[in-house]
Amino acid sequence: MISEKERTRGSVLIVDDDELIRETLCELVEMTGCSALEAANGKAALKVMAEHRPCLIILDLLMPVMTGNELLAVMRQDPALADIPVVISTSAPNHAPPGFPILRKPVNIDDVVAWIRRTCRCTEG
Amino acid sequence: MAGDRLVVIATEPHTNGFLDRADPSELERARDEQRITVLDARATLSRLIVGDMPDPLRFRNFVAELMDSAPGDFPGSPLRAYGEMVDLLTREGNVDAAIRLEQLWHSVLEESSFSLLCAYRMDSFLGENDSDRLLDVFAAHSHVIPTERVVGLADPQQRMREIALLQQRGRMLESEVLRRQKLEHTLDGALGDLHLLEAQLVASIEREQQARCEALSSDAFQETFLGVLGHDLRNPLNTILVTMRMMARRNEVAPESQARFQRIMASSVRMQRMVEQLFDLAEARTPEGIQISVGEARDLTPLVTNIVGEVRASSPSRTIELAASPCLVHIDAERFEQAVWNLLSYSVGHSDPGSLTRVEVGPHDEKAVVTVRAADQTIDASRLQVLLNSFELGVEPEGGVDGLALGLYLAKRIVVAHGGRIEARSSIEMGTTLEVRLPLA
Repeated sequence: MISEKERTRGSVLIVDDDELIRETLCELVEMTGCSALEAANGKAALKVMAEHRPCLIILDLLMPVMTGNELLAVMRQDPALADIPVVISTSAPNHAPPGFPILRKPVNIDDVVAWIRRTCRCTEG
Repeated sequence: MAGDRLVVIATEPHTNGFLDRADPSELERARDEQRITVLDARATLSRLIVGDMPDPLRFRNFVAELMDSAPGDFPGSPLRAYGEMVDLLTREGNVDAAIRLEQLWHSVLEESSFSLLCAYRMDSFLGENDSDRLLDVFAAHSHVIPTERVVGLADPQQRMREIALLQQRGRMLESEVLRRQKLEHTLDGALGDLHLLEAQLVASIEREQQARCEALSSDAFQETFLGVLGHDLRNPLNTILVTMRMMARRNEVAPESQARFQRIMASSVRMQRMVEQLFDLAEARTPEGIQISVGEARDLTPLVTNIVGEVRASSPSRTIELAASPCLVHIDAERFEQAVWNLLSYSVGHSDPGSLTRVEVGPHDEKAVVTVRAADQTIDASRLQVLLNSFELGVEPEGGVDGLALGLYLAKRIVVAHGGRIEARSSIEMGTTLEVRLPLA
C-alpha cells in the first residue's frame, strides 16, 4: 500500500527481474529524494501502476512472465499510461526498442540521477 | 542383249540409269522388236506381297505373265531380268521377305530359260555383321559384279593396282574400326570411372553438409551459451559496481578499507570488461556480425584524441604521441571508440615502461587512416595475424594484458562492420604498427 506522502512525492518504478538490481536501484532512487516502486516483471508493473502513476519507469527488457517490450506495447494502448517516461535499462542495447533512452548495464549512477531529476519533482536532492 | 528379251523391274532412278548405260542402237532395236519390258519395282512388289511376305502363287503367276508376254517372233528366247525388289525389301528392313523373294526367283530360274540380275545397294551392308549377309547374297548368285571402277579396267596391271588400293582402303577401314572400338572401350572405362567419381563426390558433399550442419549447430550452441553467460554475469556485476559506487559517493568506506575497496572495484571493472567482450564475441560470431548504428559524418580527431587521453591517464609510465588531421567518416562512435581503444591498449600493454607509442589519424589515399605504432616493440607478424583472426582460425588466443585477449579480434570485427580493414605490420626498424583504413565520408 502506498502512503499519501509517497503519492505526493515523485515515484520511480524499477522493473527488473533481478532482486538485487531492484534493491540497488531503489536505494539509488531514494538517494535523490524520490520514492521507489518496484516490480519483478511487466505484469507486476501494470499491477503497481494500477494503484500509482510513477513519474519515471526504469525498465529491464528480458524478464519472465511479461517482458519489457510487452509492457511497453500494453502501455501504448492505455491512454493513462502511454505518456509515462520510460528509460530502458539493459545489457543488450541493440535489442532495445527505438525511441527510448537507454541506461546500459552496469548503469552509471550519474546517468540514473540525471534522468530522475529531469523527469520527477522530488522533494530532496 | 542382242536377241534376248529384257525385263527391268526397278525404281525410276535405276531404270533410267540402266537404260542410259545400254548401247543406244541395241536399246532402240530392242524397243522396236518389243523385247524390253520396264516395270516399277515398288508397284510390282505390292502385287506380290501378302502381309509382309511375297506370296508364292502370286509370284509364279507374275513370272508366267512375263514369260507369256514375249512377242510372237521370240517365243522361248532367253529372258534377262534386272530386279531391284529384293534391295527395296532389304532397305525397308524386311530381310526375311527379301530372302524369300530370292528363293522364289531361284525356283523359277531352275525351271526356265531365265537369267536374273539382282541389284543391291552397298548402303544396305554397312553394319558390323553385314559381311556374312553379303557372303550369303554372293552364294545365292552365280556371278557378282561389284560397282567399283576396277570392273571396267581393261589393263590387268592397272586392275591389280586398283585392287591393291582397295585392299589398302579395306585394311585402313578395319584398322580404323579397331581403333574406334578401343577408343569406345576406353571411353566406357572412363565413363565408369566418372560415374564412380560422381558417386564419391555426391557422398563427399553429403558428408560435408552433415559436418557443416553439426558445426553450425555446435557454433549456435556456443554463441547462445556465450550470450546467456554474458547476460547473466552482467546482472550481479551491475549490482556490485553500482553498490560500490554508491558507497564511494556516500563516503561509506573507512579510510583503512580504501585500498581493499579499490582492489575489489578494479577487479569488478576488469570482470565487467571481460563480460562485455564475451557478449561482443557472441555478437561477432553471428552471421550478421557486430551490429553498428552509423551516424552522421563526424571528424575522427576528437574521438581518437579522447581515447589517447584516457589511455595516457591509465598508463602514465608510457609516452603516447598523437598527430591528428581532421577527417570525416560515418561511424558508430561508441563501437569505433572501442576498436581504437582496443588497438591502443594492446600496443601500450605490450610495450616496455618508458617506451613510445605514436598514434596518427588523418586522411590518406582517399581513406581515413588511424595508425598505432609502438616504436620499440617487435611482434612476430604471423602472431599478429593470428591475434587479429584468432577465432576465424580456431586458434586459442594468448593471454591478454587485460580481459580475454579478444581486443584485437573484436577491433577487427568492428572495423570490418564499418566497411574498413585493419592490418598489422612489425619489423625491428619500424616497430609494430596496427593500421585501420576506413572509407571517408
